[in-house]
Amino acid sequence: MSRPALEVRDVTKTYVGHPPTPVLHGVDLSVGAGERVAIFGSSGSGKSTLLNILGLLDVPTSGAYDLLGQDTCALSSSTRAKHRASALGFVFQEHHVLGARTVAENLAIKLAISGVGRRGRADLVRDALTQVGLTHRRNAPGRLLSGGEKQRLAVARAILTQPPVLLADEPTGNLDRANADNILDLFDSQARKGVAVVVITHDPTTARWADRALELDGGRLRLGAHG
Amino acid sequence: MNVMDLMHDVLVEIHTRRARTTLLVAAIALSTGALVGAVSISRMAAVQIDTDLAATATRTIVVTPASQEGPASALAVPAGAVFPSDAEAAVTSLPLVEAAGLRQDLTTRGAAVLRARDPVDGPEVTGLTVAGVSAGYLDAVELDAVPTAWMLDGTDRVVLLGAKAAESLDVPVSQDPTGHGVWLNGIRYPVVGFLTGDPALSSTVVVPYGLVTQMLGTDAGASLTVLTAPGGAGPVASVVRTAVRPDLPASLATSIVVDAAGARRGVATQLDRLVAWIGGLLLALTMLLIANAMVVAVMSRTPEIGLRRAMGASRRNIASLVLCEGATAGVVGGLAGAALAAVLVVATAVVNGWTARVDPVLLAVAPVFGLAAAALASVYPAARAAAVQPATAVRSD
Repeated sequence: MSRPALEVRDVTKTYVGHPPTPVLHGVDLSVGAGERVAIFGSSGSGKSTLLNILGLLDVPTSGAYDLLGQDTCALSSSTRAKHRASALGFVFQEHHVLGARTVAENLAIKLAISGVGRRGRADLVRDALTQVGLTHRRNAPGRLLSGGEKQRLAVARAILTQPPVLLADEPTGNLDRANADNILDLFDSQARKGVAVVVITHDPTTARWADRALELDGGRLRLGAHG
Repeated sequence: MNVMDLMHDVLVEIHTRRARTTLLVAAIALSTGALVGAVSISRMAAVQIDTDLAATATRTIVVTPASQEGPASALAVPAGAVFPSDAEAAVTSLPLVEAAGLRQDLTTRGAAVLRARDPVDGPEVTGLTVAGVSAGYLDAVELDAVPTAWMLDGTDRVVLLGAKAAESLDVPVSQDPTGHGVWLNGIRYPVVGFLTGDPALSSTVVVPYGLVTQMLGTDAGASLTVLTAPGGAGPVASVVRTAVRPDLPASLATSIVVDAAGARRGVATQLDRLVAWIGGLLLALTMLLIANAMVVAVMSRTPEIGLRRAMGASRRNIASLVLCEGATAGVVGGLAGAALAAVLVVATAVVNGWTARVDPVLLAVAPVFGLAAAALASVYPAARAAAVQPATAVRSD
């Protein structure tokens, strides 16, 4: 059996405060390369917290998290940043497109952060825009894109450096059905290339699209009804 | 993220947020311009005040016989007839008087032949003044203390040499002049000291006042120099003749010597302090303005900063971005401020009828000042930006 792209074991997360807020309780999850996993659950169930841990934006209170076979819990802040730049692609519900920058510039920022040389950027930007169908909008400011275009740009940004893991938080939440299907098709194409795709969703259609749909309920993860 | 990427990002951000950048640059320009302008105007005012003071500031009074008609009539006046032996003591006891001393030049009253070595056949040294002065005279002309000055109050044949006089007479200036002497009218005078602190006495061979008076047999060519406290020249001048010659004050004349150097130094020092205070306050104001603007900018960009962090930017990357933005705005603001200051200085000069003086060094320093102030003021906003938690910043709820 090949090594999973990501694996969390008995992960808990409690936010400090008075009183402390426990969010995740002994979560186990393993996602292989090319696998599509959907995690759904009600608001406050801990979906975003789990995604933040998987995306190295947050650290678990206890438990282990291996990304591409490497234990991430003891990594320094700067090393975690480097892993985010190289191993992970994010798609947020609020696409976070920089409205004042052009489509190409939005992508170039990601490449600059990832340390890709200026010479190689044009090809990567062109490839990514081709994949998401935004080549014609290359020089348009982000603020002039439609909702569907912004989300496709967010996907292009996430897959730009061809990371082995793609994480998406409600990627279709603000889209109509056609645009939502479009985004899921893009995820499909990534999965076929061996990218592990984890999607947080409220949308039953998105949950059914996944190879596995897991429900996060009261901070515990279990196989969902859609799976 | 390399430097090119960083600068590209900075320039795009500055271009993108034109309104904020314009306000920031304007704040820096205003502060820098005000600072450079204030410094320039203060300096200009200092020069103007200095010029005005040069015409008015006085501390020195010179008392002379009412009529000095030449050697023939002077010889008829016996020694001590003009300035009694207690003249110095009488004047120094007056309020506001700091020092007083007598002087009579031998060179102008009779033959004074100076030779460096041979008393008879050696070459005559010319171009020097031989002056008889009292010890109090050196204090009255504010000369640095000379350890052997007390000898000037006697009648021993000794000399003190000014720097040029020593050079002309082949006497090396040193701490210990023992063994050196000059020949005055065929008589050897040992050198007992040097007067190196006052350029006015540089070409002077100083001998005791009493000796010169003895040699001439008269004090008709003498003068009494009086140094007063600042502002004391007028009051002292009105009573000094009576103090010296209570019996015949009309036999003396007084003149107030314009000597603004001390007052100039005082005014310049005060103005420099004023400028330092203004500069310090403006510096603080500038940095506060910049820091405030940058903090607001960072807060408004929290989602973007969070996104950058989520995409893999390190805390250092984020801090560098904010610092470079601030520094770039600082340089641009500094340049604009320099231009503003130049206009301000010229306008002030024109309005007040002064001579415009724009210090090019100050103008050149303005962009550097803008850069340094903005970079320093951006440290805290940069730290705040670097501390943005990506997980919180990119939350949608």
